[in-house]
Amino acid sequence: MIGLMAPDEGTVEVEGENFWAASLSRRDEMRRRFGMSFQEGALFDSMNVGENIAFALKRHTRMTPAEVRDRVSECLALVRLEGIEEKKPSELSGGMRRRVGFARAIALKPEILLFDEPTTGLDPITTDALARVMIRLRDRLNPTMVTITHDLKVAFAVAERVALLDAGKIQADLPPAEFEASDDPRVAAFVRGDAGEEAGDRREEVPE
Amino acid sequence: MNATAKIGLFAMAVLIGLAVLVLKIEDLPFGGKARAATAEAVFKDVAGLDDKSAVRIAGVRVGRIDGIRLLPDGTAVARLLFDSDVELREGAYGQVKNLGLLGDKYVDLYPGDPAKPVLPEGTRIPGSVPVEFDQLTKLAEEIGNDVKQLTGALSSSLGGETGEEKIDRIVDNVGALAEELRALVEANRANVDVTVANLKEFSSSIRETLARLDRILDENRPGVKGSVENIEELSEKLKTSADNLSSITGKIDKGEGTLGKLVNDETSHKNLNEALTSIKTGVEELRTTLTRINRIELDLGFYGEYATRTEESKGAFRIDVTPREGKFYRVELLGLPNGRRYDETFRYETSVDGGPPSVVTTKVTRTEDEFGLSAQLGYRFKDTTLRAGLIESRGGFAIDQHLLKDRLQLTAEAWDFGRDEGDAQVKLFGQWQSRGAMFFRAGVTDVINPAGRSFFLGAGIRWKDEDIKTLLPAAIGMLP
Amino acid sequence: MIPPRREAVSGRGVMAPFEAFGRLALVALEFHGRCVALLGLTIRGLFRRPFDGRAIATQVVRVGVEGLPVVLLTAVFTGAVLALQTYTGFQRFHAEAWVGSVVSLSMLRELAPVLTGLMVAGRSGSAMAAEIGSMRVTEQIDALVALATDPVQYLFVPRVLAGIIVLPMLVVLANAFGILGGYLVAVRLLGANPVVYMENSFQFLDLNDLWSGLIKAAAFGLLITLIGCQQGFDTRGGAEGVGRSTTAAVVLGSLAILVSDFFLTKVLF
Repeated sequence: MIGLMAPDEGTVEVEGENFWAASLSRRDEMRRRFGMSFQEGALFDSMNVGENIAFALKRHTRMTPAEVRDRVSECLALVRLEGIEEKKPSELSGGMRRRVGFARAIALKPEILLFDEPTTGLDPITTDALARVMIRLRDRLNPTMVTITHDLKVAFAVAERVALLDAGKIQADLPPAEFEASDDPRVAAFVRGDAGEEAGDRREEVPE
Repeated sequence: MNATAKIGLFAMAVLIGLAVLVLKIEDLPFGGKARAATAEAVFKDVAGLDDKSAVRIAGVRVGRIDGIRLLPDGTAVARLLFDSDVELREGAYGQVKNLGLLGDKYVDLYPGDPAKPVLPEGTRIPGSVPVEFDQLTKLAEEIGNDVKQLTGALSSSLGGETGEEKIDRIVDNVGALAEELRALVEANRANVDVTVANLKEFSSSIRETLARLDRILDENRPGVKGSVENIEELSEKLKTSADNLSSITGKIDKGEGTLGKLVNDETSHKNLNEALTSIKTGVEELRTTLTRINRIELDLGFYGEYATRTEESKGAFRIDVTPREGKFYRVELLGLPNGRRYDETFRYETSVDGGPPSVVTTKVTRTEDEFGLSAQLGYRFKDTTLRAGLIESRGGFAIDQHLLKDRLQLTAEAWDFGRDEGDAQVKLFGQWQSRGAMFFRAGVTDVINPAGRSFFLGAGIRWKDEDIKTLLPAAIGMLP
Repeated sequence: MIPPRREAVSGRGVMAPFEAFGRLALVALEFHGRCVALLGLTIRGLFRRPFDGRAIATQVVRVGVEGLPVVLLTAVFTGAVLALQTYTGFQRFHAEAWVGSVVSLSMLRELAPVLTGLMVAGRSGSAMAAEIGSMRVTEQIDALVALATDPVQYLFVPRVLAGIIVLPMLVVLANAFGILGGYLVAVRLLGANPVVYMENSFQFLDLNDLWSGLIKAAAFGLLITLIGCQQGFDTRGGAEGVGRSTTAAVVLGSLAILVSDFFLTKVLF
């Protein structure tokens, strides 16, 4: 996956530069241009929400505490969760945790935002709310966004391009409307939600 | 209470604890009576006395010994450290004493005559060593040695199978002897009785004779003749009893009984000598075999290395067997977490709407753990060692240069001449051996290949032969 | 980054026992290699910015201050038992006077460092494995990487450093309390003369006895925390994996203490 998580094995080339061949400090520099949100939020449960969002700010910028505080509440406002800085991650619902995860990912104003399964395991209404937050982030911050999801609704709502990744290969790469109407058997099967004869175990979509 | 306060309290408690322990151990007094006086006591023998042993006056502990050294004349001098309110006066002396039977030694200080002048600080006083447990034990030891010699002689003449036979025979003989003695006594019962009666009579006669002599002397020798007759009679009786005794012992003397035979048995003596000789050769053979085994040295080691740039690490277990000086076999089991690596290239071709195809190429370098083996034969010439064989499961050779009495070692290794990257693996490093078992190394791996070249650091433990020989029996002892 | 641990493949047939042995050897070597590698990264992390003093303080409180009651209780009872046992033994040849020396000498040189190490391995080594392990399975460690933070530096350095600092501190107090425990039993229970007992406790001690115990303790602190962190960091397989890592941290930590104790003792004296 794009080489932000410590990969089990391998080398990834990012924007022409070999990420894993780069020196450690260079890698961290590259990482600062990314924001990543994880499946379950992956919030640090030893810290409260505010500290979670401020984590990268405190470590990688020279902001004063007041500036950090302002930036944190700004990020929380972007994900529509004002004023929960003092709460612990364990006190939050699944949807809120993910939104805090988004807020943490955008704290450093990244150029590239990665979402790993942002809506898995959530009810349709929360899913819809998250999709709206994602659109909001897209429109306000204008980053390059890559979302990995199983949820076609989210994909079609958020993405400008939708790609289907199946059996290690990208099977299609189309704008949402064309993707939905595609007559490629695999894409069509996926859109219909038809497992067919050869039910694949791993199917993922890469909308961009 | 916040974290800082907790740490503060904790650290304070630790410091107080540390201070108390250090002061107590070093025997530094708290507070006021910090000043201590010293004196030196000369002893002929301070065996059992040690640094920090107590100094007592009349059994009260007043200080301790602060160092013992030898004087050129062969006597020992102990520095005594005691409370400054103790005053030594002329005539003071020290004595090495024991606290109880097992207790340790201490110096009993006699501070001198209170009427005499005070001795200056650091003065030298005489010391004495009373006869004590040490001498007693020495005596006991001598006795023990004698007993040991005796039993040793016995066991050497009675050991083994022939010895057993001999013991049987001796027991038989003793039985026979006792029997014989009884018979002898039985047979001579009459004689013995007579002898005893004679002796009784003899002694009473002497009494009478003495009384009579007195009287004779008193009566101015009128009956001297009678007395002489009496004495003659007496000596006659004495002679008979003596004859009887000598006839008993005479029979034994002549070796007529079994006892005599035993004493004069020539063959048993010879057998004994032969047995002893064969045991001796056996022991000597065993000794030579053991020395040969002992000469083979076995060194074990563990080490880990970490390459800083490539972030690769490896761990190894090493066995060195040195059958004779200058030649050794080395076997290493290695865990190479990123041992094998190979590249896989993925190419994704997609086209949007029949437009120009966009190509995404991803190169993935996969690495796999590997379990490696090194096995080398090495020769050492003075300070240079050449090794050849398997290095990390590939053919290769190496050269070690030993410096500073083997504390420092410079090594060049080359192996895997046919690998994909083209050039061989070359590794250069220096290794420093600490005084203990630890060693540290640093150098450059994969010198020729720019992609793999990296600085590396390593550390390990090496147990030399002597360590293992002490460890091994202990380890075996731990087995159920 | 360090590649993750991989599962061994099981085999059958005649070669199975050899394979099992080989696997064992591999696992042992790998563990050894991982520890060395992570130690390398930890040492590197120590010199990279930012240096997180507050995190170290937190760990010092967790390992040291909060572990203090357990350690001291262990020390008091160890000293007490030691006094009781040596008394019954020494009484047989009228050497009761040396109970104090035996208690203090064995506490300082051996028992305080080892027992404190075992207690801390059980208490803090396992806690570290559990904490870092659950961070691993909930992707929090990945999140750290994504936030351009070296997880080894962020997680290992404060814990390992705290271990190295705190263990000797705990051992100093354990020494004092162990001697106290022996004193209480000898004087209160067995009726020894308090002054003579204390005198004998310290008469044969050397400062070297104290220092060597503290050096051992520092080494144990490094081993316990490093193994605890390593086990947590290499956790695989969800909640069950966290449980496994926690157990392994205690078992391997305790083993490391006992094995290294032998060699440390050999090197230090």
